[in-house]
Amino acid sequence: MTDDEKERAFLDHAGSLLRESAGRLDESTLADLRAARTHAVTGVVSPVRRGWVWVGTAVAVTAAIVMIFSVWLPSGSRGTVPVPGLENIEDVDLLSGAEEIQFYQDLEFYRWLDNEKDAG
Amino acid sequence: MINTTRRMAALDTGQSLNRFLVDVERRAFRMAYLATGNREDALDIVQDAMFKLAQNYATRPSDEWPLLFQCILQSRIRDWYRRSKVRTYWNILVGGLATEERDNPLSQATAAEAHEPPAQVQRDSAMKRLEQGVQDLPLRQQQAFLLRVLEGLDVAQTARAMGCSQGSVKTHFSRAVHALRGMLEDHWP
Repeated sequence: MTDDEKERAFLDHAGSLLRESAGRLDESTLADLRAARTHAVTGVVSPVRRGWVWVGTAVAVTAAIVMIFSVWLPSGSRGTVPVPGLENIEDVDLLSGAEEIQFYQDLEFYRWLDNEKDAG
Repeated sequence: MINTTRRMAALDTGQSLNRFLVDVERRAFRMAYLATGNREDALDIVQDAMFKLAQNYATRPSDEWPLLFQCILQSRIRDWYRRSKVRTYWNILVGGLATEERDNPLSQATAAEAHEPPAQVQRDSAMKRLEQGVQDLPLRQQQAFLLRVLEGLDVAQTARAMGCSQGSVKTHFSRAVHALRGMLEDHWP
């Protein structure tokens, strides 16, 4: 018998023993495997409808956001959240009137004129 | 009408998948058990592989299932192996070595072997030696050996299931066979 033939015979014997071993599992293990298989196959036969999963997820996320805003946001600051850089918002109103811009540009001149009058 | 057709198709797929899993589940469990040495972990791995196949690949042609199932199963076994290595390091770090119960599901089935004819006793003994030898192999050699010998996959299929090159499969398989022959050949009938 060549070494290749010996190896072939060894592998055949090993395969046969391993298959026999797999076929001799105890009842408890077989029952567990049956349960696992049933669980897996049930998912294919009666799948959970994905549409409802998405709707459920959307509702849950919305509810979570509402909860976060209603519980975590300080009650005194609701609706009056200060925006950085816009504390002097009235200045924006003044500066937005184009016709008065010349007046504000000349303000320094009027102040100087006033001082000159006082001094005179 | 469309719903009924769809439902019938799902039932057909379910039945085919069930038949496939019946055929493969015992060998899959044996493989997972030989890798983990623990019944519960082996069951978890097989259950996870079954569920993943059903969830993600049930609609694929049924002749693709065997290889897909082996890909998932071997990947789960590798994951378990990595986690167990981390667990072992951690146990060594904290000073206590975990003593995992190695309850062999085969032992109950062969409890009455004292009353079996000598040929059967000899075969059981050879089986135990082989399983012990396979358990003692490094994981990659173990996977290559079981996929080739127990599942009957060829080199290319084994490489896909193990996620490595065909050259690596040949190396792992050759080393496994060499080690097992050295351990067992003289004791086998």
